[in-house]
Amino acid sequence: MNKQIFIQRKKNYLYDNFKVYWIIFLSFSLLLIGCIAVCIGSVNIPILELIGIIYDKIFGYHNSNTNFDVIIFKIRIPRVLLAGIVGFALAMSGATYQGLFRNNLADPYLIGVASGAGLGATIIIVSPLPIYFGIINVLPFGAFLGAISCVMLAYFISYKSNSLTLTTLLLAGIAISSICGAITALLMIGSDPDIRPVLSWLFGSFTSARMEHVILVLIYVIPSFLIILGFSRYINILQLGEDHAMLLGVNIEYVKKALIVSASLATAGAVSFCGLIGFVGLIAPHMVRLIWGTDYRYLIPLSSLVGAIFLILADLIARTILGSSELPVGLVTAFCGGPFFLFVLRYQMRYRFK
Amino acid sequence: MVLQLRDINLTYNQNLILSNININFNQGEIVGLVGKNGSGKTSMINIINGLQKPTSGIVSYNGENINSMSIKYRSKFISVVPQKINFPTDYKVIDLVYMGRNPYIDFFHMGSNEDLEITYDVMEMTNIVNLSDKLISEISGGEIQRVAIAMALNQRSPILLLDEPTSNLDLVHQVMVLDLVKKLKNKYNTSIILSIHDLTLASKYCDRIVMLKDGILFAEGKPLEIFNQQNIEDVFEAKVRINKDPLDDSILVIPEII
Repeated sequence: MNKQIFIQRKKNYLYDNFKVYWIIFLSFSLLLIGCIAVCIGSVNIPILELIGIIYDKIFGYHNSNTNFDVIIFKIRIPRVLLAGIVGFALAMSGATYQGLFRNNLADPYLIGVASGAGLGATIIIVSPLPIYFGIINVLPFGAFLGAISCVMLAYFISYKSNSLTLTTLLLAGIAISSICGAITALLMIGSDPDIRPVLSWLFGSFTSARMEHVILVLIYVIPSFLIILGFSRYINILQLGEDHAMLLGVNIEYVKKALIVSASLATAGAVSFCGLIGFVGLIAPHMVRLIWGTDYRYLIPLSSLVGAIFLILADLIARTILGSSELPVGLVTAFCGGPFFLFVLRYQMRYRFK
Repeated sequence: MVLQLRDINLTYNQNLILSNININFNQGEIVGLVGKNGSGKTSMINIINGLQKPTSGIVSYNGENINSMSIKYRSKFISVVPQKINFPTDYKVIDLVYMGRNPYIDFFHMGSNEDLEITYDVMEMTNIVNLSDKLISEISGGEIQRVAIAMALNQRSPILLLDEPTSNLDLVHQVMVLDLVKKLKNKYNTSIILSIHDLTLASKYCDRIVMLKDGILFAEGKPLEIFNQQNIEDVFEAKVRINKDPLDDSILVIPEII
């Protein structure tokens, strides 16, 4: 192979057009699936009508069907958007943690986000304070504070003389998780028997999705995504081990801090409004890894998109399959995701599109 | 004089690892670090590359303290082939070699044509161009060693450190690696510091030998001068015979069987 041919061929290593096309394709699929999910529900809306209504809304005409208007803008769109963004955030943080800890079993709840959020939510529910402060539901804020304080605690325990030890962070996360879990159980036992809000929160649900929630979660997810995407090239190098990465000129302390802070913030933001939704953060990166390979520059956007699509579909199933009542979306992700994951593992779909 | 080690001491849990090391390394010479396992060779290499901060003393490159350089800046001057190489198995050879260009690539860039050209040159030099699309899981130990060397060469640094580059290789690959090192010295005038166990090979390839014993600089000089029976038996605490290679006057070290 001579030099010119080599450079021509390897240029697509720098910008892998093939994977970029897949990212574009998945983005359009996400948009399409989002539209379809908005249309389907207890009242079905024809998709052309949906496009018409959105078009009218954007350009300020008010001559459309007002019944559909309320359903679409007050209920369906916030719900689908929130499901998509939460799936996006969870898959993104899952992929980031897997790269950072160099462990394929890592998931977004690894370092105490989940149990912290659970504890925060339980404290709010058990305490004599009202859950609704005016019209604002304080539960998400309690969950968010709980999640963030647990991650901070794990972070500072493992922070020693200017360096962050990832193994200690993992162990501290596990210990803090079990402490928080114990406190949560204790609070539940000592309180009223009516702890259904906590239970439904723990299984995850998008029932109360509102446009404000979407915006609040976006505030966390967008900057985190940009930071993680920027650092994704360094996650690749980090796979060689911390020492070797440092020899190649990567300031690993800086990279680790930026990645942990952004992934945890995105997860905490996502979890606080919809509860704990398992499996997305584990499955989406794995699927992408098996199909498109381990290059984190593409793994992170691809698995985020796959996570968003997956969770929108799971939520669609959760709210339609029983007709009148709803399933918690966490159950659906476990039911669909678990077997699918096992199937993929069994057959090791090592078919790379290349 | 390129690289200076001044009064280097290193203690770890009250154990003295290195004590009072003073050495200069010059441009374009191959220096072999020789000593028993645990005599401080790897610690010395880690101190030179900045992974380990010395308890006291200064490592300086052209008058600049290594430990006060930023990590990225430092990696333009010093590249390392570590002793333990644990490459992720699902990366391609080209991906890994290209990572060596990292010090020259900005945060928002992916690299340029020039980076690819340098990568090609380096892969040609280490003879791994035809492996470029293979996964790490598909290639042999000797080839992995060459990938690691190519990665370090891709940093285009004036100093290259190799920590026991030959220890897991068969005879052909040992010679191949050392020939490569020599070629590198002749072509780019790189300073090369390597730790090595095979004294015969060390005397053939190194311009200068540094002998370490229990963290102390035991002897330093040309291989012909310091590879004598007395020194080797003192450092390694083993019985040896020393012969001269009739072809090139280098030294053959033959272990005495008791």
